[in-house]
Amino acid sequence: MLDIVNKSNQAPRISAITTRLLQQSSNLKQVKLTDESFRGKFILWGNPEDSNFTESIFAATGLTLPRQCGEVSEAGPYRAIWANPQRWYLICEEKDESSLAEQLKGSGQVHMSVTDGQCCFHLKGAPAVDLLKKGCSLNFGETKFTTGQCLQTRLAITKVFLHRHSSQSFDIYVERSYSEYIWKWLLDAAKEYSC
Amino acid sequence: MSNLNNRLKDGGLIDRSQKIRFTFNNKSYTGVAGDTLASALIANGVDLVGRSFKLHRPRGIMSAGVEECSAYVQVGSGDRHTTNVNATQIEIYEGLATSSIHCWPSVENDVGALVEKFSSLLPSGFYYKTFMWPAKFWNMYEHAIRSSAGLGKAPETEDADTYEYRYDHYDLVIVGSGPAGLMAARQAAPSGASILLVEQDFKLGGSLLSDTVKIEEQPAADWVETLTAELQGFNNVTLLTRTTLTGYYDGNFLTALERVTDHLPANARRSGIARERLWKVRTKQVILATGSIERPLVFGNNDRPGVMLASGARTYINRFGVKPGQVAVLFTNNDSAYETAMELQQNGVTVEAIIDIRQSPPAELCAQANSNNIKLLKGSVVHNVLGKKRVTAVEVASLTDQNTLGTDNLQIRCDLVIQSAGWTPTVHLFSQAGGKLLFDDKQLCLRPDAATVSQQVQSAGSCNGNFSLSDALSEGTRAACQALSDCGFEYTQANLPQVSESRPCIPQALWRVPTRKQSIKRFVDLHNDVATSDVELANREGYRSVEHLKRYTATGMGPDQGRTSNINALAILAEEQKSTIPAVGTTRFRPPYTPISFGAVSGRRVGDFFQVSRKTSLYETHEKAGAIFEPAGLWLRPDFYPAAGESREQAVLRECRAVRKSVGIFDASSLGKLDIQGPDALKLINMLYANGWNTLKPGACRYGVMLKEDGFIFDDGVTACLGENHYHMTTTTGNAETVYSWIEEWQQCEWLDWDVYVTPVTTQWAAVSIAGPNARELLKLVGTDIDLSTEAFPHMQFREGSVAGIAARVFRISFTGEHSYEINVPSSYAPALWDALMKAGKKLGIEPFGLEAIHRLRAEKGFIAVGLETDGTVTPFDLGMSWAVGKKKADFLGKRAQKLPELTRPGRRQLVGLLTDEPDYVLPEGAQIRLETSGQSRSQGHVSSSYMSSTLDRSMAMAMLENGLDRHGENVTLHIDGKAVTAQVTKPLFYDEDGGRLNA
Repeated sequence: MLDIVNKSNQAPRISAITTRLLQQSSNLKQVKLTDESFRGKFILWGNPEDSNFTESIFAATGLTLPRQCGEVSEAGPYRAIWANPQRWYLICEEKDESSLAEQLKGSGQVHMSVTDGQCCFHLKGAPAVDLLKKGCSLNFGETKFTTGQCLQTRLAITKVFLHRHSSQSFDIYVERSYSEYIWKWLLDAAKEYSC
Repeated sequence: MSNLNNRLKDGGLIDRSQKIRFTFNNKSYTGVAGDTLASALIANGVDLVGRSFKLHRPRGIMSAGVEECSAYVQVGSGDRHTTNVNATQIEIYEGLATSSIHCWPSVENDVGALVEKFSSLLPSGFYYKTFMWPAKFWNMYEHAIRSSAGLGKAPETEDADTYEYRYDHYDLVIVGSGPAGLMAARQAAPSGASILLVEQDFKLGGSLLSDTVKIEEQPAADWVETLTAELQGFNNVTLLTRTTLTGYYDGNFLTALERVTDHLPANARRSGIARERLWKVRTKQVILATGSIERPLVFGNNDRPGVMLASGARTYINRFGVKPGQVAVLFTNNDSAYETAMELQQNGVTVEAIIDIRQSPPAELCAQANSNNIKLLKGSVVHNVLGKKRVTAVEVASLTDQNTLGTDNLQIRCDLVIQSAGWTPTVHLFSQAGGKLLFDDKQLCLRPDAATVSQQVQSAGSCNGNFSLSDALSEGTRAACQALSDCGFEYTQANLPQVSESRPCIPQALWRVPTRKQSIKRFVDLHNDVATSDVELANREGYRSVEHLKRYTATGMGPDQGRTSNINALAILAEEQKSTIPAVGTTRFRPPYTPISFGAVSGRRVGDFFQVSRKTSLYETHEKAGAIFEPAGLWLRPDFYPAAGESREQAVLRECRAVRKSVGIFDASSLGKLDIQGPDALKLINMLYANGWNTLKPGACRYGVMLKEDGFIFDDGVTACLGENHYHMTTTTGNAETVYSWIEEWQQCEWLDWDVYVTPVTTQWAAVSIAGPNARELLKLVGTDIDLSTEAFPHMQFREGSVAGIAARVFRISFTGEHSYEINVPSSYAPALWDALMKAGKKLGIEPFGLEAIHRLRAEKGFIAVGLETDGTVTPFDLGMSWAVGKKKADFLGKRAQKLPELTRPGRRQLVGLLTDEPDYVLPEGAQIRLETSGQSRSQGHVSSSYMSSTLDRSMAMAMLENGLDRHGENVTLHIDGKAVTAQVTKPLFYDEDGGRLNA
């Protein structure tokens, strides 16, 4: 089967967030919002009780797959986010996407690229939590949602994954067709932090 | 209106040096920092603030707090306009503009006041009785009633402000910052628990702000300041002022409305800051320290401006440094208001008399009155108030043992009547939390029955029916200790501050003060103009349940929520029924405690943010091509691409012709896509679709219909076999999420052990469809490494390869009836693919086509559209698609239902084509096909899709018709807007019957 990701495409890639909207984020002062949508993103499926599965993933990527809701594991440039008891998001920087694709292919496990179907934004700054609390009912207490955790939740009216990197920085993963809504929503809700 | 300046020279929690100008009814006034609109109006001698709800009676200010149910005003105008706001809760700011509501042309000269002349004809429910006939006149009556009744005017322009939510989580929420709330916070703060303290006022302190008592040897207000500063030092404590806890729901979920900018002058309101913030809070523990509200007495003309709760008068004197009148009387049935009478006297208000219902008030109080030179009239009542726009005098008489008026009559000139009938604990939130109330027959009030509530909530202080200051302080502390230990925090019990003991409040019941004349109105609910006579009438007319009383008379409804009227109404109803208050019961309190603006409820979900508009990765490309978009579910999809000066119809016909004659290009990206992998993938697909899949080889595609268990079509689409145990399923755009949820449900509930993984990849892949006799030529032109010959790549096959240098999955499938390819590439490459195809297709005359064109093209070919030809009651057999149901399949979802008599009976509606006798006439979709039998006419079918076809050069339609499969060639009649339209029934296939073009 053809592996779409491995083909070196010459054509230009277009971000889900238009240049105009990307530029608007530079007006924000106290928070920083950046588009990291071309990070490599894969969905991996399997039975974590099956050691053949977990070992093949470990051999291919070095990742020990997390077993609990909210957990994230990392190995070198790769990151595995727990999505459900049999499903993970594997994430890497854009430059490492083809190597991760290659390794997953080599593992022989059920996986697929969702790089283009999922966007990723990075939100950082002192009011980041206050901003998210305008649209998300998660408990952001630092003992409840700890640094390093990644939780599936609802932001405004869309489904997102929030990966907490520190007390005030988050990756926000959102399905591509909802991403413009979330981007605009964040810009609008962050207006009070623009001075 | 007097021109007096009622501001005291000193005292109060105000800053006399900071003058603030504001307007009321277009007249300019000056207040000072720390004033509410009510205190500033009183300071300026404004007595008349508004007109009442139904009878347009003059109304003034009757309290100093949230219980105000008389002085409602409108704030602002135009796009910043709020109506029915308590004057007692509006903080004044420079430039504040307010006005009276419910009066015309002015509050002083209100034409509507004529209504009062007929007040005896307007009892509760009068319009139900009066405007019954003739029935058709109701619209007229309704218009007149609506314009004469009601409160303020709704804004007519869009709100200029923004609103938002704030979600949060706490260990402990304390509601109210009076003595109980502050002590609870002080006790809980050092434990480290996360605490939210909510106060509706702009200052913390609650009743302490109006009290002259000393706590820890400081004046109460200073003690509050000290404690506030102490609490502000804790990072784990959030103090929220100007915030009303409006709702208490299940699972300790609370809503609170924070008024963020309402107190700021226009130039201080920063853009981006929401006007109001609706807090949605989950908490482990709640302490209600919501205090209590003084209850009014029910006596003749008790609604006149100048009649005020004693607690209100006390607040005006002590907190705001204003005299609410010059000459006052106190009318009471308990001890608590005596202190206020003394304080008024000491601050320059002449207190002419204390009129106490009780025959023998405590000797200590009598002595106090005496030493302050205040006349004390025991066993007496105020039975009437004189004056219209302001009290001018009261009529006092003695009360006999039978609670009737004695023959004596004393008129006392005064401009202020302060009154107290005891205290009502503010139990609204406790009741909302699910708690039941107990009637306390000593204190004559309803208080919480803690045993009846299952949520983690405690009441402390006067909201718990314990009215003394020392009780409030100790209960606050105790509740905090309990809450802390219940959620596992350690604490050391704080010392209780020493305070002088206050007097218990034991009122003497007299629920209706007698009047000399029946026509004198005694108001129970000032806000809704409900008088004693209305409660009596409701009871006489059979509205005996307290819930019926509420709805018939409106007692306790509206912004006021019965804060002052509840107990009085219950007591009068009980008396009328010769029953007791506990037997009569009480209504459950419902959220919100005080009104919430629609803005706050909507939050950020307005305008662009009301709903998501999903866009494919080609949206910008379509926009540049001048597409007109059409919402399809949440998606915005191109409907058509008009050239300069073209109408929709012209554009659509042009797009259709391009597809039929050469090649068109269509964005099919929004189609639902599911990646299905695993050893049980085929098993899953076989269960989901009605047709068989066992023979589908890698590289092949097949069309299938999905049924629900009831046997009706639910979705359709093409699924391709990508490789061993790997499938790519497509669904309709609108059902992408529904189909995925449907599969999840089966996987999670029934097929747990199936080894199959389903992933939605709708937006991972963009799908660009090229259709038309030149589609193959176009693919060649744009460049591909796929062998496109019919032998190598026939219809209903799938190949992977490079298209225009982009790795792609190419499906040779068609929804137009033409030779067609659907090229799938990762979404972010779609614009490059589209541009390359458009460029390469230029010499072929390629045209982008939209939703309307594809619908016409598929209808010509007789392809069904889920949601048009199907409506949740249509089987594959109804559509003549028996080929899509696997006869030999052991099982599939919906199989058993196919045998239901209803699904196999003769006479079911079946898919047909319709050609109108008039070829230019396009039938409206939904039009009914009528059947006339022996003078009766009924529907025998309906039009499901109908279009003008460029290919046929005439109109065509698809319809669902009884026994339609057997009726091709018949003529039928449709009735459209009173006109009969005739049409011929045909096969639902108007184009390329043998499929030659598809397979070319």
